[in-house]
Amino acid sequence: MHPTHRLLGIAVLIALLLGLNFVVAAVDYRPYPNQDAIISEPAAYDGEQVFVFKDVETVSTTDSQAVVLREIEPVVDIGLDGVTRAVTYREAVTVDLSDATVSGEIAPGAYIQIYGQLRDESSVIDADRVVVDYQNSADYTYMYGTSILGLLVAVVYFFSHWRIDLRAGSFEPRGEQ
Amino acid sequence: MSEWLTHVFIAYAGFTILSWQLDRVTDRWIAVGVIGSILPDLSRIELLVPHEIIEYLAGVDFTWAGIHTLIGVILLSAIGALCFGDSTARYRAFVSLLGGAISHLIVDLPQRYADGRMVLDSYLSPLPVPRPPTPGWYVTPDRWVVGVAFLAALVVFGIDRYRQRPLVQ
Repeated sequence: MHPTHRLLGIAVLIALLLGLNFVVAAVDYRPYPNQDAIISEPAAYDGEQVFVFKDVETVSTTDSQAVVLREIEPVVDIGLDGVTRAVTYREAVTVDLSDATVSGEIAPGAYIQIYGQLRDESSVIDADRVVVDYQNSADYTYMYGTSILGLLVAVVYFFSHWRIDLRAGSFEPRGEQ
Repeated sequence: MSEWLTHVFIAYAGFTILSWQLDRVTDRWIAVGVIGSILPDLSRIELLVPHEIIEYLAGVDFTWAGIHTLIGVILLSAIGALCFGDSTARYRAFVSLLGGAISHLIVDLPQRYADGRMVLDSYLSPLPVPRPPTPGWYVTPDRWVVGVAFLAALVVFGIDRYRQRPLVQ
């Protein structure tokens, strides 16, 4: 295969992949109300079931409650000094854990999944179940560390069997002419 | 997602077991399949290029999650396959990469979710797909997961060496 054809094929496939990501973003395939809808009409969603992934801001020491944020922080400018974001919406949402099954330990900075119902004009989530994905920064470090190690293992293993043929612009098996 | 070391070990074990049945699955294609096991998580490009940047530039909603879908990994496997020399190699690379990527998607399925269901629907997004209950075996940072995957890879590696031993009279 001619290198130009190869590059052309790859470019077309990358364009398709980007297009797929726009299509996936445009489709709401879960039955739960999305954040934009809740923000625009908070009272309309009381009693509705939600399933959200959030960072924990604070955990109450007196009540069985935690606070997460409902926020919108879009990129508003890309310039020479990098990317500028602006908080266009931020609201503290109380997660009522009194009737919740919690797997893991909820602490500030933890990344949790919340399944429950909205109440009080969507300012509270009555949690049924909470799953703690990442408890603390050590969990993130572990995930990134093992993942980078996994990538290294895969790449070293791959190049023990393949080499790059620069002229053809392709991978060729090692040990063959 | 599970972390990548687990995905790499499981893909290695799976492809090596396949190689006992299929002569075409040689070591070099196992190595390609192991690379495939990382493809769905290339959605983590989010860490380098947050989706909000694309949204700002394009003016419409965007997500990198499309990569972590069946169509996404088919496209990525095809991109990878185009980097191989002749048409036979390209075909085998495509099948190996896709096989590795699908092993990744399967390993991700039994994770714990607060609504008690698998994220099977996200794999076929934007098509509507039901979500079967998840057994909820693990979340990504659970340390035992990589231990199980490593043991599986080690046992398969041992059996593979045993099968390849020279026959001594």
